[in-house]
Amino acid sequence: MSQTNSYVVQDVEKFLQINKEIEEDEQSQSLKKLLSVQDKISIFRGIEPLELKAIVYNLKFVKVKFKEYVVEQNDTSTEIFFIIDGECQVFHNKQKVGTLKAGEIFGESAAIFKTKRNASVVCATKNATLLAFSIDENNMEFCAPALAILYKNLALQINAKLEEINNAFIKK
Amino acid sequence: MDLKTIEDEIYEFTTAYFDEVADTVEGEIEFIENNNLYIPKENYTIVTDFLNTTLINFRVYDSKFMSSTLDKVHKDAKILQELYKNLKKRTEDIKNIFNTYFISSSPILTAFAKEIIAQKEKVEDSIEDRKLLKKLMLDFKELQNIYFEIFSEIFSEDKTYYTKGILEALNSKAFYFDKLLWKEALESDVIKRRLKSLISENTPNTKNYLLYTTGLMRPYTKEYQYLQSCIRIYK
Repeated sequence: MSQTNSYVVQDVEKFLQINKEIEEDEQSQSLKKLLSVQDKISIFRGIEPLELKAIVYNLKFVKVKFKEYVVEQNDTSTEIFFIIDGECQVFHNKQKVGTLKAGEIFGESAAIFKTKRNASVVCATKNATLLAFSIDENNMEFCAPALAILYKNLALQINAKLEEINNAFIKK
Repeated sequence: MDLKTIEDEIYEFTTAYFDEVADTVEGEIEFIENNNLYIPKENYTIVTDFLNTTLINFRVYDSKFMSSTLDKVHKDAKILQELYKNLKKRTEDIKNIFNTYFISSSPILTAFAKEIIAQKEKVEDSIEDRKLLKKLMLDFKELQNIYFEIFSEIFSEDKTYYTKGILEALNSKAFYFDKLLWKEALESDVIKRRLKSLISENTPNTKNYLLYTTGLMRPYTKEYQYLQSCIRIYK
């Protein structure tokens, strides 16, 4: 026999009221933004929105001004950034190594591998708006498929970057 | 003897072995489905301990706090948590379950074992008898291996099914426990006043209460890390 309680109509009504309140509760703006750009973020492609919502946390919009640092090399922060508008430049040991434009992401390596930031990222336009978020890798019980896709996407991205480096090396 | 007979015996055993958890899980899942209740993707099961402590604190602030619904949800979450812990413990070592519980419950294996014992006890110790005993023991070992292979597969499937079911039921229960706890807390003037002094302008909910609690703690302790992982559930 079941060990848990049997609920009466009034109990169920209370649960349904909670359901209603959740549906009416506006998702936070940043979460809405993340879900709307999900397909543009390569590491999130193919992940169920509900699961994506469950594996991200610390979502926030970040506004930076010209020459302002978003991340600094050797930093231990673990957020991932998605550039909504503006442009950023990437510096490794104070040498400029690249430019990041709207629609691109950065910071995923430090976030996933828990390593120090391998480069600094600085705002290169008058202003830039970014979406920052962290990944909850501990939710294996309910989001294992999402995390599996996330890691597969990440592996693809790293592989693409390696191929790019190889091709550039061959051309030289 | 065919595979069907072996499977039937194993199914009979696993049905009895998972009997207690099966009733609860099936009842819970049916209740969730029939009432369109929510099973969140966020792992609320980890926050249950913190919610239990919060409930106790609220009861200290206001002794009249807690409706019968909240009481049921709270108790059920505890039961499911306990059931989950027991299930995990009871299903850890399949080989041991097979050797300790299954073999003695299997009519075929016990009959075979009895035959071996009888053969061992035969007074005449001829070469033929010894050969027969050796053959019987080898056959028994082989049959045991066949049984274990099938047992392991069926048992693991059941284990996964009930573990998933119990976690989903607990997650749903923990979710409603969380929401109901704060909904009722905000209906109590005493608790509201108390919370206002603690988390001032922030909305009183688990996330802000967790932030308040961790703000008072020494970081990098085990407890602090646990509460930090709870905060991640809330966006």
